[in-house]
Amino acid sequence: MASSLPSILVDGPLLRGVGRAQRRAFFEATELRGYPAGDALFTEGDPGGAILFIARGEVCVVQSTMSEEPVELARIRAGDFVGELSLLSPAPRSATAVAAAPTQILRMDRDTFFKRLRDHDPAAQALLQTIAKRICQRIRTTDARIDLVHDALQGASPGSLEARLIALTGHTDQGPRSWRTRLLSFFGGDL
Amino acid sequence: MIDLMDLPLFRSMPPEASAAITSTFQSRQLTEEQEVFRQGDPGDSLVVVLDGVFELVRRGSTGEVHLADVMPGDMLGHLSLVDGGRRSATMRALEPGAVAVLSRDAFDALWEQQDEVAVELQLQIIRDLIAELRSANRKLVDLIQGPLADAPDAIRRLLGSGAVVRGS
Repeated sequence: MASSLPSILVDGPLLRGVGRAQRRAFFEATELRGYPAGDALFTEGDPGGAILFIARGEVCVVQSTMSEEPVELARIRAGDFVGELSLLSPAPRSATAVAAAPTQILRMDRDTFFKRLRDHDPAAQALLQTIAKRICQRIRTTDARIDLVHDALQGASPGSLEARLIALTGHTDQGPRSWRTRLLSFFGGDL
Repeated sequence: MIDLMDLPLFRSMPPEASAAITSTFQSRQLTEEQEVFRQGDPGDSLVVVLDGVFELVRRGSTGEVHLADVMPGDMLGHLSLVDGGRRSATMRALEPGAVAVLSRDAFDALWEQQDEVAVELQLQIIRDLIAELRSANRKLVDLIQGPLADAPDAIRRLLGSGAVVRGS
């Protein structure tokens, strides 16, 4: 790893409760890689097996669909990570991650992470807890969306669905009016 | 009636280690129709079915939905155990049965304890959570591509955003 560690990762919230020296030591064990805007960090179907911490730039996660152009699933900003599921539970990458701007990442592979975990590195432990809590959050969000769709398909009232959809997705930036119009045209038309 | 020590999770551990962990579970007998936990309750334990058949149901605004049957050897409640959140479903006995319960306090003590056994248990629980997340994602994607196929793109995108890789 290069001489200067990115403060956005070392001093960020990912390794909560861990001493600074241990946080530094953890990131020292990563490998720095750079990507120009538009390059893929990994591609759907690749074997997984590493977690990528975004040190600089921004990463856009997209998934290809059968008929349409790729769907953007998420934007991951500097200070955050991507690829944690395949770090812990081997499976091919389920989506493609593309640098949305010139991007630098710190990469830690599975063997390095597990060795640190089994050597009782508190930073690896803390990261495991951060990942576990994130996964729980995502399960709850996904379950809530599934319930919402079930309710919509079974004819629950459009007003309550709209409020819940906004609460779930957090996408209020498009303005309440356009939301109301879009949602009512969908759910309303269906009822 | 199964023995906790026969679960794949514990079989893979050294015998002293699995004995130490399984001794922190408490067993509980249930009669038919009795609830092990109820949707909305604070989640405070991991539950392993030892005997009998249970069901998992979730109530939505349009009634109760059967999610799954739960059989001996199945483990439930990972989510609440890790994040301390509320139960997302109700678990109910379909016949007289027995479960073993690991309390959140005992689990938290394991998180604190940095030995190999604790790490293995944590990893197993996280792997189960990842499997649950992947299955929920598949369900959501199936809904978006199936019954919602004709919905406006904006709605489908928002419902699906982060579904595979990252929740917002």
